[in-house]
Order: sequence, then structure tokens, then C-alpha cells
Amino acid sequence: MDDIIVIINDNGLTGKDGLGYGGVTSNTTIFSPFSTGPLGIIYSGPTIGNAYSVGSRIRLSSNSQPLIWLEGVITLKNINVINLTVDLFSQTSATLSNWNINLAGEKAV
Amino acid sequence: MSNLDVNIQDDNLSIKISCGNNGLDGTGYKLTSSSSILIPDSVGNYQTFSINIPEQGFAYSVGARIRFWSNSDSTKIIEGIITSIVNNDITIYVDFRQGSDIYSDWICNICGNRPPYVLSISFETNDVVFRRVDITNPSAPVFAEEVYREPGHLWNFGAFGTEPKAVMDKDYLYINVENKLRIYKRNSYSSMSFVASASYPVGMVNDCIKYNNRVFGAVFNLGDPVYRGYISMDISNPSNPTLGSAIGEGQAGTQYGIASVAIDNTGSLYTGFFDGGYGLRKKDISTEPITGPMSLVNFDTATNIGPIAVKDNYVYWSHDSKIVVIRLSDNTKVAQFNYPFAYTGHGTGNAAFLKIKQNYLYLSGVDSNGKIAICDISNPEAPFTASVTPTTAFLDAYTYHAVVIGNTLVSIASDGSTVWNLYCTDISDKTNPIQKGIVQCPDNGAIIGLVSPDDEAVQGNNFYINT
Repeated sequence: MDDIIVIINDNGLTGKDGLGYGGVTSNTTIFSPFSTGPLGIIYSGPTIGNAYSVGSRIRLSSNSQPLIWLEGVITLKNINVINLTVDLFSQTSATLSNWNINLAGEKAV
Repeated sequence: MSNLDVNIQDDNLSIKISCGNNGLDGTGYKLTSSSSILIPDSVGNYQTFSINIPEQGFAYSVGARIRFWSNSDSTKIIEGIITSIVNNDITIYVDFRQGSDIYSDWICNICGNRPPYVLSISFETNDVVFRRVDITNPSAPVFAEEVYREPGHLWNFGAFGTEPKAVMDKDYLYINVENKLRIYKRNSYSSMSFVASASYPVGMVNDCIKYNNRVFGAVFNLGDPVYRGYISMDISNPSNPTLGSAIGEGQAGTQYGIASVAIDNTGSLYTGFFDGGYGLRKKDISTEPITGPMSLVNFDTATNIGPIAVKDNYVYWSHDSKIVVIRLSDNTKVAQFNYPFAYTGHGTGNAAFLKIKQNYLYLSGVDSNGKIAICDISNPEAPFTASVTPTTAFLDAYTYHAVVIGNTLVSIASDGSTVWNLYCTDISDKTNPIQKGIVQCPDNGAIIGLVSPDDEAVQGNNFYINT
């Protein structure tokens, strides 16, 4: 080994943003009256993906009527589908299909 | 982000390390706000926080339930559901607050729902006591804590029919009892306080309904002046309730009185009155002052009176041993079904409690042995009894208060002496209600009221609650 040349520069590519929780929505139609039990939705979100994982508790809220919502724990997640088990929801007679998705706190005990 | 290139050529080793900037963090929920915000005096209002947005943005979208708390005192809290996000302004509909004063060091994060709120009003050894009842697990309801105690029996609680009538709206509890309206405020989930009271000019005041900034009761007075109608208190300032309209029909006859009021979503008030026969009257109360007599909707020749309720174009009118349905567009009786309990000799065979929630009417009476009937009124002109709760109360139990929270029906019943129980019934299947849990009121207390701000049978912006 004759020479060792080390070049360090700071012009590399910027790393990818981290996975986050924002910007996840669903246009799945959910009919009233809401009920507890399994629910599957098709979702969309940032191209980088999102941070939700199986076991996360999430809240689906109507974008147009924010006081209407369902909550439950994710049982399956793949590239565009989330399955959850709904255990809590607001009372409504509306059938809606414009949902925002956020993390949710555990239901009260 | 960094890249490492390694080359070996002609015994020379070259290493090239390219360092880029890290990517942004993922969007998350922790935010701060320096907005100078006064913790509101009550829930049910909107509050806007100007937030400090991190470089990567944030994860919140409309509908998320969030909590703001003061960094200097984490017990100072504002919670609610996001209703709009505009630039760096987040607006929430406040459904819980704790503390007072102005803060400008807010931290924000996601939070869960508050537990369902049920408040019992009981007479105990020497006091009137309000208790918060936790029904999170309907199989094991718990009298969780005493939130208010009023020394001495300030109220004249007597036989059936003279118990206080109460309604809770957001943080305020309104009780019509004797000839008074008494107002209490929820300071936190663990504490309430007395706010004010005001006297109606006559009594007894039955029923209690809040409509906008007024509380209404049904009135009868056999003395002078004779009243048989409704009466209202203006509660725009809860600390100083003032008498509103009072309508005495002054009809000839026995002048016996009225038992209940109900208000529809157009601001029409209905009263059931007794005057030798039983009638239903109507009055537009949407604006003050209210003048002129009530108009007659329907009249029958029954002898016993009970509660009424209204939904959409129909009023449900209990008298004698039947529930009559009147179509309001033409004041026509369109249906009738029998009170679904056998008369046991303890009461009158009449409904004493009647409430509508969505497409179901809940009713019971002094002789229902603690049971509540669930009637399907999805077709108001063809109602039917879907089921009767399996409550196992004592034979001569009373059941005249109940609230519906989600899929749980919470009711009270007693043996008429010292044992008063609270029951939770699963009503997710209205044709097959299942009794879940029972708990006795502490200290052998007599439960005389059961209310919940979560038990709002809402149509439009109005509340229809019979308690």
C-alpha cells in the first residue's frame, strides 16, 4: 500500500425525511350507524410512507364534520390498506367518506 | 446522510466520504404555542391557538383530539377537537377545560377521549350529594367520587312526582325543584359548585328543559294565582337567573295542572295538561317576550297525565296506560300503543319516564319494577315495543330516571325504602337488551336524579330531555 487518500466533502445528498403521522387520509365510505368490530379502509398519504403500525390506536375523523369520528387499534397495515378494530365512535346518522387519520389516546378508563 | 466510496488502484487506497444533511424528522404531534389564552369558563366554545410550527410541519389534521397545557402548570388544561387548521392557527372545539387564568406557554399533544360522564343526585343521611359515576366498564359501574355536597336537606323531597327534575348541559347543571331553579357548575370532573338559585312565582315546577338561554318547567299551582302552563328562567347569565315568561292558561275546570314540557326544533313548546280531561297544548317560544294563550293541539278524556316528548313532526304523549302519537302537521292522532307494563298496584299504570334517543323511545313508570321499555319509533305512525330491559329490581321499584350513553342505558331503581341501585344495560341490540352491572348508591343514599352532558338527544341545536 503506497498511499491512502481520504476525501471528505459535505455536498452529499440530503437524507430522506423521517416517517411521520401527518397527511394520511381515506376516502372509504363508512355507513351509519357506526358499530364496533373490524373495519377495513383504503388510505393514502405521503409517498415516503407513514409511521403508523400494527397496534397503533388511530382516530378517523370526518374532514367536513370533525365531531364525527371512529377509533380503534390497527390489526393490519400494508401499502394502501389499514384494518382496525373499532371500539369507540361518535353517534351519527351520517354516511361519510372523507376521513382524516390521526393517532388517538387510549379510551378512558 | 453520508456516502462512502472506497477504491484501491495501483496499491493506492482512496476513501471518499460525502456527507449530506440529515433528512427532516417525520411529522409528529408535539407543538408549542405562545398565544395568550384565557382558560374558558365553560366548555362548548371554540379556541384558536397560534402555534410554533417546526420545520418538518406537524401531523395534525381536522378531527384530531388534542390537549393544550401550560408548561408552568400542567394542571391548567384546554382539550378539544380540531375543527380547522389555517396556516399556523389551530382552532379546537373545547370539550374539557381545567383551571382558570391566562397562560402563554402552551404545550400541545394528542390525547384520548374523556370517560363518559354520569352524575347522580342523591339524598343521603343529612345532605344532598352529587356523585360522578364511572360507567367505562358497564359490567362494573362505580360511584367514583363525590363531587358536591350540600349540607342539610334544602329541598323538599317527597313522594313520587315531587323529585327534582334536572338537565345538564356542558358544564352546567340545572335543577327545577319545588318552586326554584337551582344552578350548579362543573369546575372539573371531580368538583362542582353552587352558582345561583331563583324562585318561580308559583310552584310546583315539574320537568326541566333547556332551550337556548332559557330553562323551562311545567307548572301547576292550585292557589292564587292559578297557573297551569309553563314557566321559564332566563339563564344568559347563570350567576343571575331571571324570571322569563309565565303562561297560566286559566281554564275553567278543576285547574289541576300540567306534568311536562317538550320543545321541538322550531322552538315550539308543548305541554300536557289536565283539566278534567287530558290535553296537549302548543306555544311558540322561540323569541321573548311570549304573549297570548297556548293553542290546543289535541284533547282526550283521560284522567292521568304523564311525560311527553317530541321528535321531528310527532309528539309522543303519555296518559292513562297508553302512549299516543300526534302528527303535528295536522294535529292528528296517528298511532297509539299500550303502556307495556302490568299495573302492579304500586302506581297508576302510567308512564313516568319518557325519553327519545334517535329512533327509539324509552319509557318506564312507577309500576315497571325497574324495567324500561325500548320502543321503535323509526316509523312514528307504526311504533312498537322492541324489548323490555331485564332489570331485576324489587317488586315495587321506581324507575323514572335514565340516560343513554352510546350503547349503555343507565337507570336507577329502588325498593321504595332504603336501597337505590344504579343499573347498566347493554342496548347495542335494541331487541335484546342485556343487563350488565348493578351498584348501590353509597351510604344508603336515595338517588333522585341522574343526568349526563353526554346524554343529549340533539336535534339541530336543541335539547330534548325528559328526566
